[in-house]
Amino acid sequence: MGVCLEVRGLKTHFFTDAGVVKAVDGISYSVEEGETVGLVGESGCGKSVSALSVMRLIPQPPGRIVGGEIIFDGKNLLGASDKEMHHVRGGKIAMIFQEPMTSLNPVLTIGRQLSEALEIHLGMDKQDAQKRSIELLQLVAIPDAEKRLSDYPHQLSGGMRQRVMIAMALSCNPKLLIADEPTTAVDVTIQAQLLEIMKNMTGRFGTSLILITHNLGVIARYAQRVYIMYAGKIVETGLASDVFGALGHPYAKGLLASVPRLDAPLGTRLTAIEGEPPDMAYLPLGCSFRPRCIYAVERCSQEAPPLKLIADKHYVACWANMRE
Amino acid sequence: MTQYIIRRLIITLPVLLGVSVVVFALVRFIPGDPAQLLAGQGASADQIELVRARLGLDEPLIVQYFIFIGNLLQGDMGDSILTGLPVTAEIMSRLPNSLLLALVALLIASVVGTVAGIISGVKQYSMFDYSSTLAVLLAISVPVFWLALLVMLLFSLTLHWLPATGFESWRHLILPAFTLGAVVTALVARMARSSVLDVIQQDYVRTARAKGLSERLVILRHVLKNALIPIVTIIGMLSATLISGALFTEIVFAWPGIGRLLVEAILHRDYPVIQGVVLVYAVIFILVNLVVDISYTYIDPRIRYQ
Amino acid sequence: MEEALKPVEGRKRSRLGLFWSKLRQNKLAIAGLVIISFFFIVGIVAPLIAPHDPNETNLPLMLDKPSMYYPLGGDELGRCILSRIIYGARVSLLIGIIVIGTGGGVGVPLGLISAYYGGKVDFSMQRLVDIMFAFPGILLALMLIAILGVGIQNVMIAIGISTIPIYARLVRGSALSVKEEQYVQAARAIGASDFRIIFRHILPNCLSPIIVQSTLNMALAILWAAGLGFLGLGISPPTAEWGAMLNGGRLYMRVAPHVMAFPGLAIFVTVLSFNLLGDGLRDALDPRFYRR
Repeated sequence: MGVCLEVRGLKTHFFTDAGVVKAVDGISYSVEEGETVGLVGESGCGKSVSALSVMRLIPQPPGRIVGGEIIFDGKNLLGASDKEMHHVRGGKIAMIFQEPMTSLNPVLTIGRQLSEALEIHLGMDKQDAQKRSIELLQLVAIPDAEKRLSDYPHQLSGGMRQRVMIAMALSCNPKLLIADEPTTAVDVTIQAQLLEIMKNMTGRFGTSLILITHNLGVIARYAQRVYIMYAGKIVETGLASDVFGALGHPYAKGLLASVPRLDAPLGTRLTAIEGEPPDMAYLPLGCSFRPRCIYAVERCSQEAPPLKLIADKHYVACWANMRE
Repeated sequence: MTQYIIRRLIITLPVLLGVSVVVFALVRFIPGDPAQLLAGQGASADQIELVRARLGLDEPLIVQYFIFIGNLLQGDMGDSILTGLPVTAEIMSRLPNSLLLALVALLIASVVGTVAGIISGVKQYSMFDYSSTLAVLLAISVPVFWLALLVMLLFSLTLHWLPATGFESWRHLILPAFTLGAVVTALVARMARSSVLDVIQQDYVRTARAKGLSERLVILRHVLKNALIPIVTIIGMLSATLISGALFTEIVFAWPGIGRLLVEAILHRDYPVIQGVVLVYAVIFILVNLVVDISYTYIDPRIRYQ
Repeated sequence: MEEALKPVEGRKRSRLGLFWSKLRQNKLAIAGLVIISFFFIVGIVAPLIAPHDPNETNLPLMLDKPSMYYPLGGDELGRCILSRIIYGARVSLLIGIIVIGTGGGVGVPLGLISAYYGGKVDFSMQRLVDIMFAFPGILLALMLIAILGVGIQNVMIAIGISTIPIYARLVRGSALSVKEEQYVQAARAIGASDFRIIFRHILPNCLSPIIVQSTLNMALAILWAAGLGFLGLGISPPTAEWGAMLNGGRLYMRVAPHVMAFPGLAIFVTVLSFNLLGDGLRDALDPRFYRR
């Protein structure tokens, strides 16, 4: 299988009154064709920003991609012209977002919003686009598809809207789908539905999928490989099947440990990671996780650790290099 | 949604009632004999008694009010002290002129203001945006009557391009409409700009870009429709500005509208005319707001399909 | 390598400090503030700086162009325009302040009571405000002048009453949202009196929009007062008032445009300054506002 997307040393910074926020500070990852990759981290760690950087949808003031390469389809997207990017977005790389309630245009019908991409990327005319739209809605299990085309977004539930988003994203058969927290804003039951739909669709069309979430369980179930981010950097990566059994990075370990277990005895205190999420405008010298890390050694406050291979395809960025 | 319309209508009724009461009470608050006031300074004793009888000024206030409303519904607003002609006739002969001026000014303002505001919003921080924002600030602060005089001085008295006062041809309409429209244009432009800026930040615009739509399509299809809707909400404020501004514009350019009629009536204590014009202005304003409110529910699909 | 840990103190400024720094960045608002202060000072020390008695007529100098003697020229009765503008500042600013005081003094409590008690009280007060708003713009003031007659007092009353609904509606909206906050519920729970809750808890949190609106209302008051003066319905002559000066200069516009241009300029600049300051205050007090 070939490589679909390769990100090398991406740096995206935001220049604000409060300081320079290094939202993404030198991350590298790759996605194979047909693979599902998970990108995990807490709010503010830079995972959404990295996805928006791939699409080059970073708002220009105050943000800017200041370094790195994004190799897709043999080309560096960071050097692509605006016209080329219009071609890529929606057509080759598609993205769905977290908030289904606000991600659809309230004054345009579902049908219009679905057929737009079809008309632009596949050159379909109105009739064909309409037919294809109905098919797409049926694929994502929306009942009464033909009638739904003339509905407005507010007439659909959150779960249905997210399914429309998925249909919209996959309508032009992109090679890569980026799903930014697609299930965070919906009920648990809808979550399961959406993820199954995404799994089926990507499996059926051979689409690569980057699943961005803070939910470890989702990654464990649906992703083949996982990247764990903290404060704008990747701190651990490996095969999903391996990594969760043997996490190396203290943050990752803390993350897993903080998920409450159903089989724990009643009254067990929740395990939290000490300290607070970092202020991205004022990161400490050395390893960004050091202020909260119980395994910190002296080197941690002097130099930021690079990713080191500790097992088959398993990398960890930590000086203490713990492994249970 | 019909519930909303009904509720809106119900709320408007007490306001209309209140306005009629205020206008009715206008004259009764002035020190002096109401009959004398309404008959005028130079009226003879007979004429005063005529007025007293006609309006039932000896009766209790409630009865007077009903007589007032009764006359109103028959189209009788009394007679002008100055000219002796029926107030209704005086107003009706001038109302079309005021409406013409106001509508032309509104048209200019809407077109110019919307376009300027949208360009400003889409190209935020550009040269156009800065100069346009500055122009808006200036236009909102400039006194209409001063602007009218300056405009007249420049284009009419100095350059002789356009006539100063009068009403004969379409050329006479240009200066007053431009003057009246200036402030309104600024209000529209400001609203359009902030509306566009607000919409551009929305998630669905990001989705549209993520689909690969050209920036042109994003603006034309996704941004514009959403941005134009809130502009409708300020039409009420615009009418207020138009009515206020029209008073001064009509005076300066000697435009024969009801604004000019009102000011002259106040100067000459022509109370029947004052009552009539104020009532007409208030009713028009209330109706405009009502229509705008109801139209809004049709324009915004979120409210329409509930 | 990476940045060292930055000191924390510099970032957590007090709200006042944050507000002031945001305002300072707004050059136009500061310009407005400076000009307003200038006019206030001019108004206060008017007798000291005016070159002539504003009411002293000097017919040979009628419609005179600006000269060494009359720096801004003479008006249609030979009076010094500059002196009249200086004294006019006094009048305009005085009117503005009284208008805000009375309009706010009545409108703010009205809005607070309306919001706090809700129900029938709210409904009737809202309708009252609606009725006042039904007379758009300067019309309400004009109507009141028609009843009360002309003169500086009546101008202040008329415009003051016209600003009452503006304050009432604004404060009602603000108070309604504050009313739902936790600390108000808490105050009620410990049995604080209505009066205390309204004035010690709700009002202070509505202060920002009131301040902004008051600044903008100053602009409005000055504009309307000048408007009434222009129509001949304002301050009685011979008192120097900008709007009336404009009206006086109107007839002689072609031969002596300066007579109407300068007073108009004074009105324009003053109103503009208050609007700039008001906009600046609004932006600086808005918690969501940040500049790039």
